[in-house]
Amino acid sequence: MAVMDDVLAKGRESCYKARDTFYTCLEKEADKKPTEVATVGLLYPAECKKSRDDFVNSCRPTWVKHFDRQYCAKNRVRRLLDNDEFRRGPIALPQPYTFKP
Amino acid sequence: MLRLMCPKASSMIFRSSILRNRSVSSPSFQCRGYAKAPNYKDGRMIRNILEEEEESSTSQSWRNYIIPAAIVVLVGAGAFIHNNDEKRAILKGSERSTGIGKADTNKPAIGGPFKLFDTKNHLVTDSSLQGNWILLYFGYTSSPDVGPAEVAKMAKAIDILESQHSLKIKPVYITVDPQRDSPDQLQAYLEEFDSRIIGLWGTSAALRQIAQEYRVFFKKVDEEGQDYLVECSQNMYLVDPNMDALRCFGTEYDASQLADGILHEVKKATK
Repeated sequence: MAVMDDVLAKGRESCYKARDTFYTCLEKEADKKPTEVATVGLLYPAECKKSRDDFVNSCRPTWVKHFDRQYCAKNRVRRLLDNDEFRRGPIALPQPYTFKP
Repeated sequence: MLRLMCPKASSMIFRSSILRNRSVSSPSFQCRGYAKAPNYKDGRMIRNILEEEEESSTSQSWRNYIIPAAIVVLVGAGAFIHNNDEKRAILKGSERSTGIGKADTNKPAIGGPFKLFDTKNHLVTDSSLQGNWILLYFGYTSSPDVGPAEVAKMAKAIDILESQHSLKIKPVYITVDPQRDSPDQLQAYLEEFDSRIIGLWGTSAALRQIAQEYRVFFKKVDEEGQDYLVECSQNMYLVDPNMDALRCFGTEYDASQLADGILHEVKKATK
């Protein structure tokens, strides 16, 4: 079986670089309307389309999914910690279960 | 007037006479006793006293039985507990006590025999690794971020230990993804971090065995065609020269903390 180059140091480096470019673009263009669909329910504005393509091309699809999920989780935590009332995420406490026949 | 209100005037007279006799020295108390104490209460008190006297005479015979019975039960229970303690006690210097003293209760009860292959296809077993301090890590080469970071940490910690404390630890990397991690793949992957790291692989049955022995969890997730990720417990295990696992280190340790932890364990063991 041949050696998979994309998980070796060089492949990893290029993937990480493309990933970081995409997410910095996402942060920079945060005020734009997110229209494009990424993998795990993540949306991004059309301005980041190019870096997204680059990211998808230089990483394995499972890796892209993994990083998208990681980014979403990080964002969720950050929103919950936000002081700004408007931007703060949902505080969905578990509601008491009431039986309805 | 008080005497008229009292239902048991005769007993009241009797009681008041007692009171008066008792407290001759304090006439003020006597007055208060008449004015404030409700007379029916006094009546009840006397009744109670009378009843108690009656009861005590009947329960006297009960006590004759209860007290010896209670003593017998207490002595019996005491003797039983003492006997039980003696039976369970481990005498100083006996074989069992030394065995328990040697075993460190703090170390994880994991580990066991295994049969794997290194990247040169040589057989590696638990007995062939004996005599070395080993840092064991279970991972897979297609890991997106945690895997490479952990291996890099492992290489750095070993460098620190060898250069600063001249302590040699053998790093061992065991793949939990035998489907994709061929010996060549392992070799190429590990060489980039440190050529001293020994990569081990084996049949999926053998890997499942060692994973179970070291309580390592791994599961295929996020399948997309041929590609997938493996979710696994990212722990490093420090194994002593007798192949006993001493401690496990999670991802929360960085390289220097890991080196410190290993040094601490090694010092404790060789003392």
